Amino acid sequence: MMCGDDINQSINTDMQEDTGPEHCATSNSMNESVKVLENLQIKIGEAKHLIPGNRDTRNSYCSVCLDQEEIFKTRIIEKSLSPFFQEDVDFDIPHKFRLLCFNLHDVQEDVLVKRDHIYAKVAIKKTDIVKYNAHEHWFPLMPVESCSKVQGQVYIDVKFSHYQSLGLNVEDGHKLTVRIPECSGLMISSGNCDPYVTVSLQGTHRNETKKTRVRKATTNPHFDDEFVFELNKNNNLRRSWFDLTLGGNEMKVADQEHWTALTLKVAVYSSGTLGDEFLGEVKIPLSSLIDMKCHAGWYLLNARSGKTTGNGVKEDFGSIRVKIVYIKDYVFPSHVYNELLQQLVSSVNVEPVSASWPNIMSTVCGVRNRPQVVRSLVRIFLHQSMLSQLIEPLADDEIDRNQSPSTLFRNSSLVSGLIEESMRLVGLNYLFNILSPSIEKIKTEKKPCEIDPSRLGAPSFAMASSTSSIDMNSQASDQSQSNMNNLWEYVHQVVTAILKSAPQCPSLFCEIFNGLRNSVTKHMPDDANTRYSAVASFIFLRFFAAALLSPRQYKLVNEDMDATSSRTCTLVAKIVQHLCNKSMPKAASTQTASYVNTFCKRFVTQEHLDSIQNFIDVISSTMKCLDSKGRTSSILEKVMLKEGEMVKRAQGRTFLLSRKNFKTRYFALTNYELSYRKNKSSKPLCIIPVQEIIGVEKLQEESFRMGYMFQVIQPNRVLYCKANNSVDQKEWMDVLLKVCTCNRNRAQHYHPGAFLQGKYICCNSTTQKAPGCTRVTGLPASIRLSTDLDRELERIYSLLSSSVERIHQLQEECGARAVYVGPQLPSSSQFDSEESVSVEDTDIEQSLPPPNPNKFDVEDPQHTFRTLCSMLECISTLKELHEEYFTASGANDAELGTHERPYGDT
Amino acid sequence: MREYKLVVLGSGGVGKSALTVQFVQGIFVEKYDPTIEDSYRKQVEAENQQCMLEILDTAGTEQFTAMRDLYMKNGQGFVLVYSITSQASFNDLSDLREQILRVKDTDEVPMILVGNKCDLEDERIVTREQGEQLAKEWRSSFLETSAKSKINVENIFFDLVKQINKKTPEPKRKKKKSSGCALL
Ligand SMILES: Nc1nc2c(ncn2[C@@H]2O[C@H](COP(=O)(O)OP(=O)(O)OP(=O)(O)O)[C@@H](O)[C@H]2O)c(=O)[nH]1
Ligand SMILES: [Mg+2]
Repeated sequence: MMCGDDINQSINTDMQEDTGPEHCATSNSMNESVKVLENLQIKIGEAKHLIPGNRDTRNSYCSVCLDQEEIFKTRIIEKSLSPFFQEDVDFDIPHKFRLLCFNLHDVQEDVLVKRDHIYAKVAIKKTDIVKYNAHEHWFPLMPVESCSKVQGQVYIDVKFSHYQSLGLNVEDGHKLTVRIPECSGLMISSGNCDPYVTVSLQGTHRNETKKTRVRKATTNPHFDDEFVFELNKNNNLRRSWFDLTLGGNEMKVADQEHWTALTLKVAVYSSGTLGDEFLGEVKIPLSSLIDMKCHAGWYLLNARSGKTTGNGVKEDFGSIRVKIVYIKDYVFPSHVYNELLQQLVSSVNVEPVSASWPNIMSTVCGVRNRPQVVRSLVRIFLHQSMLSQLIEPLADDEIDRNQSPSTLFRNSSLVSGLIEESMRLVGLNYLFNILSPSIEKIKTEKKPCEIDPSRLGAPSFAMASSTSSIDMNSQASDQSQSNMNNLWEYVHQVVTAILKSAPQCPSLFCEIFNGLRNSVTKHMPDDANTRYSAVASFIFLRFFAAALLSPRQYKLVNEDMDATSSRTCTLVAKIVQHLCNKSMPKAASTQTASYVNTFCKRFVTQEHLDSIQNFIDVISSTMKCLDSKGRTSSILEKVMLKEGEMVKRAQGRTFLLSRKNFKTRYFALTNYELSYRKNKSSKPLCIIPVQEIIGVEKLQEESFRMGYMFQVIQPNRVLYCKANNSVDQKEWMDVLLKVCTCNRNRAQHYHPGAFLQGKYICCNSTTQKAPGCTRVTGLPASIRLSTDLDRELERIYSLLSSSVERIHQLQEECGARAVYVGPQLPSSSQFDSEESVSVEDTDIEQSLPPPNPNKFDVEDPQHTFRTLCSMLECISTLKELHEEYFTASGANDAELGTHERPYGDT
Repeated sequence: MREYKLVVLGSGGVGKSALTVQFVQGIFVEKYDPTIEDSYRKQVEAENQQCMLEILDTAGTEQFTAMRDLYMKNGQGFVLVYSITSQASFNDLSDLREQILRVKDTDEVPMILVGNKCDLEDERIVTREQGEQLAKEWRSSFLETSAKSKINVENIFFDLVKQINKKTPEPKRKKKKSSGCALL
């Protein structure tokens, strides 16, 4: 139980305002347009030392939940007590939450039933996430006993009032009014949850209980009952008995007892045919509420007091390795970022390149933050249709500095990061068309393809070393022959698809590759190889091969593949990569004895190699570029924006009552159209051009008694979709809104409820075409359109503002150098962002004695200094705004009694 | 014969494959393809014992790092390679080491820091002292090597085997000994 102090303290701060569950803290107009966006990136590594289940092992998967809502789950790892998951998930947080949970489920499949239960979990409070932010951590697991049914919260609203009884003996009295407007996140046990709440006033001599009605099938019930308790009851026996007969409620009255000694108990039950089930309770001593007229807030449900579970013995229930990255951005209206955007965009022309914003950002933010810098830069410049202008000078600079052609672009750098990210952002659709048929085939056929002799036929080392009989040898070689043939079939299909795809290669790719090629030719005119290998190290190594190795990350498959298929894909990737290397004009004469070599010698002809070289020629040629220049930029190409399964209701059904019109479909949204089909690879059943999407809104849950529903409003009909969870719902709605923002004929009004049985359940209009009854939600189109850009600019700001110290250091260094060498510094000293800075990184992290403190290599002190100044200026303007906002909007932390921070949450 | 699972890690182009192939096959090739993943087996005599080394040559390319955790989980000894001609490749190693320790959930993992391409003295950027300093910090061994000029290549692997032996002495001839113990 909580202590009274706790309540008193919090109530002083927020008692008067009955803000209810939705808490909103904005005061002036600027603040209202600030959007708070939160993002979670989670990597689930592995678990270890798990407690075995009843078959001495576990078939486990791990789910990620925001409070009780499941957002993501890994695949099942069978028969392991140390399952290795290695899966990532990244999502915008759709609603407030209190706990981030990782649940380990055990799945047992018998012939008839499939049982899935949670046996261990980690629950991390939102406020605690910062402690672990961005660092991988082994979290100890807690066991989940199946008997504990307590979870969730209850909203309690109490009011004290004075009354004068009009009876014979006129006397003052006190009255307590209790309302339980809602509960949330109750436990679903034995399949369903039909909750009701009891409210009791308890003392040593008094126990008075009232209860709400039962709500059917919900874990978030709302109640409208109101309960009144008389506090001076013992002075008024008669009336109490009267009450009793009227209300039929149970009551015991006895000796005198002052009301402040009483306790208010709120308990939640689920009603069931076999008896009701206890779901949790809250006890509030009235003494803690003495000085208040009213009090309201969310309370955490507790298990029955007296039945303490923890016996003090710390046992090891295993642990799970997880990395959580939590980012919270305060995105201001676009105009706030004008200056920053201006500076950033104009800086791509700065000479020397080392003094440009991107380069300096990568320097001051450090290697560890580079992925974030890269991510935001690519999105901002893509939005401005200036991606190739960003990359070209940087790449040229890196090529210029490179000493040895054999290691060009082998290491990771700002440039390689930018190009990779661009390819991912623009090229997924292109990639899918090329690789998915082959991957599907590999997945379904599962032909054995292993050609590595050390893995073939002799899985254990013992067998390989023992002198195997001739019989076994020949068997193994037969096997390897057929495996080679199988593998070649797949490789051939993949290579053919790649080669044929040259005309479809996104023009942005071609622009970037053409730039690379020109730079290499300029700086290494005599090197015939590198102009090819530079391009190949991106399109083949970092795109095709990378996608074959992790098809899920590149959205080629929805689930991780089985071991055989994924090994086959790895082999295909290796061969493709090898072919690409062999195709260089002056390919290395490979002397290394490897099975890949043997394989290629057998199947690959010069013709194959020539056509690969030709492919690289085409995708990096000016021809293709010129050809595409007419089309202003990559925007006109079809880009996959979001895809995945959802349940949809048959469109245009007006009077059919049946709920069976719901079907699971595979949806895909591109910048041109929304379509759905039976499954990912079948033909579309319906295509809705984005011009016809005139609105996207949530759908009232009551419409179909289903959560996560939204509607895609078209001029003549509405498509109702049910997403998988609230994250999914938010993502679909956000991206749909984005694509249709430019539509002129956007709906101004809509129906929040569905059209069912001949009428809209929201407004009872009986014609389906009746004009909407509610104004559309959301922000004005102008704001929404640029949200993404603003968000990325805000990211840039926050990355820079957390590196201010290093900006100052670099500035000092520039100053020192300018003084030391004089203004006319020949641009000789080498500047390498990664190098100088990350030395410092390691220093900070490892408290190494710095070998070279403050060692920033500055090529051009003047220009660098100038850039740094403009950077600092931008940061300080934005910082002021942020601070203004924080003071205006008060504390950032959730207040006690809100859903995220309920009372009783220790 | 005891088996040793060794993993070679480091940024792209530092010479991981060159070192591994030099050790296993005794050759140096000017140009190698960027590696995706390769495993090699070699039987050697180390510490007066026949050992089977299983060496995993990993990818330096950033995209393929998803598999790293698995290598780290399964590996027993780690070779962390940088090139003495690239400061960036040296700096990248701290994160790698941290990740190994995290995955293994311990502070003591057999490990060796290797500064490769020491034949390119003219292009040296990372000093020998820097390497030694880092190794001291890590409490690991350190070698400067050249796959090209065959300097110290074998020592890398022998040193690791020694470290592994020291950390986890070979489980003595299992069955007999344990039953002997039971009798006592
Ligand atoms: N001079 C010299 N060059 C070397 C040495 N070791 C490797 N190289 C060269 O460096 C380049 C890269 O070597 P690799 O062995 O392929 O590098 P890697 O670390 O395996 O690279 P990834 O597989 O991409 O991670 C090749 O051109 C080698 O010839 C060395 O000791 N000295
Ligand atoms: Mg390699």
